[in-house]
Amino acid sequence: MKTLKSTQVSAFALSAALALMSGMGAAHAQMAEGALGVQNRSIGYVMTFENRSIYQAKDAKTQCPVALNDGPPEQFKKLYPDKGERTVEGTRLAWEGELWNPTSKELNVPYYEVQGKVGRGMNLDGKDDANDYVSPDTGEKGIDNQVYRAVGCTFNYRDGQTSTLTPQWRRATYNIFVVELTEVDSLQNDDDVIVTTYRGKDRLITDATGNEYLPGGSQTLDTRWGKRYIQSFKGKIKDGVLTTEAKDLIMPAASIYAPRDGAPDIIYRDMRFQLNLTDTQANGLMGGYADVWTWYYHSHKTRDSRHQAYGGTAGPTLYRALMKNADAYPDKNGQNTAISTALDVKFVHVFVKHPDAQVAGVVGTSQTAEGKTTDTRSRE
Amino acid sequence: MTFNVRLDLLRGSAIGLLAALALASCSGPATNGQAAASKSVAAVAAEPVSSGAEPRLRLITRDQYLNTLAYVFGADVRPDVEFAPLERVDGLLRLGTSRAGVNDTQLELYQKTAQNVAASVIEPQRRNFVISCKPKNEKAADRACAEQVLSRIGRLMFRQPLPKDKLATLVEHASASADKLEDFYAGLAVAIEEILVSPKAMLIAETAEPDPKKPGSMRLDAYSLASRLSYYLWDAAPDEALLKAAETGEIMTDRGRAKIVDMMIASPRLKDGMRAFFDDMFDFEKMNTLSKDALVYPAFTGLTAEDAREQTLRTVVDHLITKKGDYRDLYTSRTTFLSPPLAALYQLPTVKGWTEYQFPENSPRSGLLTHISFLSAHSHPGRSSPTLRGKALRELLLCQPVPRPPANVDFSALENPKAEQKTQRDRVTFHLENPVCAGCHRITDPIGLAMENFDGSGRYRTTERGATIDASGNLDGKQFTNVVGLAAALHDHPGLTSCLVKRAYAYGTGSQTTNDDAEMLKFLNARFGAAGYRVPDLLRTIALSSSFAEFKLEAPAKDEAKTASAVPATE
Repeated sequence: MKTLKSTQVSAFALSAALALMSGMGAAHAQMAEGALGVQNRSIGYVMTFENRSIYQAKDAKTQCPVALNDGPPEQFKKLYPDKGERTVEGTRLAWEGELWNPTSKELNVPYYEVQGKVGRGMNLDGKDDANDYVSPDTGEKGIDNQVYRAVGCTFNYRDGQTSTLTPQWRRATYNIFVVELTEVDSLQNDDDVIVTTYRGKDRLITDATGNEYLPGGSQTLDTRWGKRYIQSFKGKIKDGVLTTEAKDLIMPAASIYAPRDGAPDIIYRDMRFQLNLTDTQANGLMGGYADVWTWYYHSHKTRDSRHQAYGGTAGPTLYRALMKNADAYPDKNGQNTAISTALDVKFVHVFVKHPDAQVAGVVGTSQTAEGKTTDTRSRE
Repeated sequence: MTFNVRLDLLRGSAIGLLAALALASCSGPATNGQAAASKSVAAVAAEPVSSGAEPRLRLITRDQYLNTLAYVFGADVRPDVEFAPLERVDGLLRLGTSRAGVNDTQLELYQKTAQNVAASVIEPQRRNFVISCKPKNEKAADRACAEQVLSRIGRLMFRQPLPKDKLATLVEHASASADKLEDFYAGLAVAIEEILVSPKAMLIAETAEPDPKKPGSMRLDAYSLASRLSYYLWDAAPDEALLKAAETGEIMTDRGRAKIVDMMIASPRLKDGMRAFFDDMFDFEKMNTLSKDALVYPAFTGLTAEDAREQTLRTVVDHLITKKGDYRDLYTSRTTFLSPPLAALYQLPTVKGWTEYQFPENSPRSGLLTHISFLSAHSHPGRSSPTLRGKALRELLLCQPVPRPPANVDFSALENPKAEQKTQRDRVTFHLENPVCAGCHRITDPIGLAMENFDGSGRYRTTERGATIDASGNLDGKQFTNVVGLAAALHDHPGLTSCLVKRAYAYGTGSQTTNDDAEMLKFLNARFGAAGYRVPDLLRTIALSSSFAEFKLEAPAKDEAKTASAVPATE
């Protein structure tokens, strides 16, 4: 139960808190205005920022001493030099074929991976192997983040502005990603909480600048078409930091083009959360092993070659790098199919509405701008 | 008449000029008197004698224009247009419409709007809705079809039948254009544009005639009465039924007028009318440009301001019209409506779309004073303002003008407060200690300080800079400890209902109230109270009153007014 600061306790707030403790109402007690945080032993957060956890040294040459990677136009020129007889099948279609149906055939073009031992992420396997990194922030060893190795010398993934998981895309798309913490007694220390992921259905609320997202919005959960995104994790909170067990997770596609182009979800194996919690936000990392194919396919379905060219991402070599550095879940031939990764994530508080639950205070009908009414309680 | 429309500026097109001349030629004979004797509508048995409301020439407002277009052409014909701001007179923009002017820029705006609407009306997907006949040949003129269409549109836009010569002119323009453009519909659009930009459409000209039942009195003619009723109750031009009632003269009979008014009050369009009235009375025009310091109030956005206005208007319409509630209860009611952006500012859970919301009994939100619209509109961009809030309550809700501050007032104490002055109460205390300031601030600050549990964006707070907020105050001697108490005091304040009566009467008649209206207002107040402060009843009483449609050329003698009965009618 959230504790009100003594200076904030007014007659109103006190009575509201008492009403809350007494569990008034059949569904949820009507909360006191402005009281964000844990209510009825639960709290919701919605993702507002998501990006590959790519450590960038002050000087790119430290990590990428030769160069950053070529993009599609440069690679195309090298793969299909302008000499001899050229056909569409042998050039453009060949390129597209490699892009959408990549092979293991060796390509005669350079591709650069990150050098060095410094990198961000999470220690996923509890070990400190030769390929693992050391955190530049905490000095933690054994950081598993082979995606960083594979893409860290590609401009698209370095500054976060044009990478596949551009933050704005998650905000704009209908694939809102919500986590709800339940069985919460304290956001500071609690040995046993449940974290459940959902797809949300409502737009995020921005502040006056339009660039930041406000806590205190509401999200109706998609439990019908978004069932595959619902996954529960056991977790604990220590000193305000939430950590969870590792479980497989399907992340809804993050792309403004997703509804139109059908970008695939990314499958993460052994995903886990590590978030700093407050009443209004939850920031930190999500880490796990990304299924190489869905990661790669998502990348290209959300941005075509033209867009990838803006940031130097060439599909054929990217796929080979991902497969080369994949470090988990081998197939029957011994080829690993998943690659360790971490996501830098930010969430803000939202009021979570389960489809069948009544929202305290809401009388029961929703109206469109034109004043038409629709029932919002049993829409699912 | 104070209207200063410069008809000579209506020279945007030859067609517009023709229309302007046509208007000038028919809007004059408003005051030719002729004796008559008889009582007016049945409702005025106890109505006191008053000077009534003279005919006016008013500029149509943006919403009136759009509402009318929606009726004539369909709800999806809604051009994105802003008309020039109006002067607020005696608390109402509506009264400023008879003092408005039209300059070249505005005229150009009207013309472009008319052009766009006309073009959209003839689009293939819409023409079947608006254009009730098919031309014999789409690539040529069809006078019969054009006449059929233009007579209907012209009648609705001009609020009266088109004179034959005017209709013939319009048909001629449509036909000539159709032949030239080899397109019947394009030709029709030219004539429709001509109607839409005509002064007869953009100006609401009321005309009067001698009242045959009351010697020495004048009354609005049937079409003017239909317009006055329609703009009052629906904020739009009269519909077919009203024009029909005017055409047959039904609207000029007691029974017929009552039937019409009852029909209008029962219509869903009454909500449009009441939204317009309360939007005007609450001075919500300022919400169009309301902005807050994004660093101080990051949660307050342009969308918030828009939704805050909508929240209050929905609450008003729901309470007064849908539920037929007591007007006073608006100021204590915990029932309202929320949208997701607004709920984020309130920091409350909600669902998609607009939804009815009930604040709990222990909530500090009680009535319209605690809506974000009122709280944010009457605050500074970066801080709350007990003075502005108190002033707004006095002026908007109690019709009590508060004098403007002197020109040489020193605001430094507020803008650069001492460190120990943590709350607004600390900072405005000097108002009451300085005799120069105290005169006015004594009537504003004790009210506004009761709203200090809400910051300048309207968000709830219990402290300011670490200090607990004291929200106690008093309203004309009634003490309270917080805004809920203020709301209760306002609910029982006699000025609350009398102010609404004054505004509603002035809004309906289009005239500023004067001392001559005192007895009439007293009568309306009594009727309003007897009806349980139900606004539809007040509207009906006003709409059926003699003074709504009749006027004397001279103000009534004082003795006459004194002897008139103020006892509520018992019809």
